[in-house]
Formats: sequence, structure tokens, C-alpha cells
Amino acid sequence: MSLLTHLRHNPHRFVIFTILSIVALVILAPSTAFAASNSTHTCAPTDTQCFITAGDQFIALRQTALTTLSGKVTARENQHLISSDQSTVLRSDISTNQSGLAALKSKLDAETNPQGARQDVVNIFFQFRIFAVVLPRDYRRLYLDIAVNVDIKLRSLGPKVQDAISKAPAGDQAQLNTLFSDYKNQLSTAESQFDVAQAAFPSLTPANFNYNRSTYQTTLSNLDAAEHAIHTALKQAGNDLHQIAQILKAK
Amino acid sequence: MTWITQSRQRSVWLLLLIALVLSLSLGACSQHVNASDTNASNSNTFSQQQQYQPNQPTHSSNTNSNTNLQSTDQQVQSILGQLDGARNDVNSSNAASSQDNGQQP
Repeated sequence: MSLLTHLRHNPHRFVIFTILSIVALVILAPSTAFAASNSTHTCAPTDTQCFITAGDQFIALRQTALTTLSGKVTARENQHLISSDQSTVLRSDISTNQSGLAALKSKLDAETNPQGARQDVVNIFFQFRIFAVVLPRDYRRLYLDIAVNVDIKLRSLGPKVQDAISKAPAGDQAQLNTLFSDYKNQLSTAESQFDVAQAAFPSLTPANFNYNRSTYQTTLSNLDAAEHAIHTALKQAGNDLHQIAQILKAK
Repeated sequence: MTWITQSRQRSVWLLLLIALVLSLSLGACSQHVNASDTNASNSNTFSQQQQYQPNQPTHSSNTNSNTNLQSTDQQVQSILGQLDGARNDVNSSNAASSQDNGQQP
């Protein structure tokens, strides 16, 4: 309080204080902001406990990320964006990885020699590939599940939209039918990509990532291209529907 | 003399203020009357359509189907917003994928 009062009565000092604060912030902010991600450990080759501590941190980070994904799956199911069957597939994969990591943690914590501990830590990355493979794959699967259901929803609206258009003034019919035609075409475009996307998932494994990287990357690129096409088509269909609704609303 | 001038000026300002309030009130009243007339004429048109075009689709059925479509459109736009959210999650998982590279102790 007294500092503020003092600064208020000394504008020059206030300016200097402000500049120094900004400089301090610029220097300190990046180091604190990236402290969490910049957690690379370097252990001495004989320091077993160091490997165990580092490995436990890596495992905790992955368990947290998997729990976040699990929460999102639950939320999407509660929002009726995915079915319980679709949710079960994702939950099963999450659970398998969480159990595997928990077992690896137990093994790591019981290690008494540095070579074993170090190998366990390597396996966190090499066997599980949670960040490189599991999470990108499962978030894509979650996206695709939602997209398939959105497509089914939009497809089911066709008769209702057709009925509303048939009752519209004759002068609007041409424009409305053009939009409706595009709506159906966009849904067909999305549907043509669903099989392409579904076919990619079995190949997106840690093993392929480790030993067959070029095939893995090609498959991932194909999946991304398919999901991008699906997204664009569904959004355009939604845009068509919105325009149709707006035209009919004005009547 | 100065007092008289000031008094006159105040009177003029007061009159202007009263005139402004009155004109605003009248304007509001006339808008209300116009709106009532428009509703009345719309009601008449609706009645005439029902009376003279019995074989045409009725205005009320059009309105119902349009209202349904508006509601459905809102739902769809909301779902598409959630689809965007799922897409963002994919992008975030891509951004985090480098955490599996080169961090071993």
C-alpha cells in the first residue's frame, strides 16, 4: 500500500518501476511457461532411483492424458454424439493402455538395477507411444464416430427439408432446390470417405510407428485427408441447411 | 436586465425540452398504432388465404414446417460446432505427439 502511494507521488519512479516489471516479466515468463514441458531428465548410468523417478513422471503424464481422453469420450456419449458401442471401443483402448502403463510402473518401481529401470523407461515410449500414436489415433476415431452420426442425422432430415421446400413460394423453389441438391451431394461426399477413414485405424499401431514409419505416415496422411474431406462436406451441408432455413424463415 | 435575459433563455430551453418530450411520445404512439395495423392486415391476409384457397397448402402448415426446420437447423448448427470441437482435439493431439520423441533420460 505504501509502495503504491509512494509511486503515485513520484511519476518518474512509477514509469521506471513499470518498465522494470515488464522487463522482468519478459525474462521470467517463458522459463516458467515451458517449465512443465521442458522436463527432460538426465540420469547417471548407475542411478536407478533417477530412472524410476523420471519414468514415474512420464507415466503419470500419459495416464493424465488418457484420463482426459476418457472424460471427453464420456462427455460425447452423454451428449449423444456417439453411441455406447462407439464409446466402448474407445474405452477399451484407453483402458488397455492405462492398465499397461500401470503394470509397467509397478515393474519400474520394483527395479533394483539401473539397466532394468532404464529399459522400463524406454518402454514407456517405445511400447506404448501414447502421445505419438494412441492419442492422435483415438481422437481421430472419436472425431470420425461423431462425424458418422452427424451424417446420419443430416441424411435423416432430407424428407423434412424436402417437405418444407415443397411448401415454399414458387419463386423460391429454384434456389431452395439448388441448395438441397448441394446438401445431398455434400453428404454423399462425406459418406464416400467414411470407409477410407475406417480402413486406416488398424494400421495405426506403435509397432508400425516404430518399425514401418513410412507406411504409418502414409496411412495417417490418408486418414487426415479423408477426415478433412468429411469435415468440409458436413460443414457445407450444414451451411446449405442453414441457408434453406433462413430463406424459409423470411417467408 | 441580465436577470430578465437569463430568465427568457431558461424559458426557451424549458419549452424546447417539453416539445422534445411531446414529439417523442407522439412518435412512440404512432409506431404502436402502425404495428397494430400491420398485425391486423396480416391477420386479414391470413384469413383471406384460408377462405379463398382451400386447396393450397395452408399458411399455418407452412409456418409449422418452417418453425420445425428453424429448430432443427439450430440443433444441427450446435452439433456441427461440437464437431469443430472434436476436430480441435485431433489437432491438439497432433501438437502433443512430439512428447514421445527424445525425452528418455
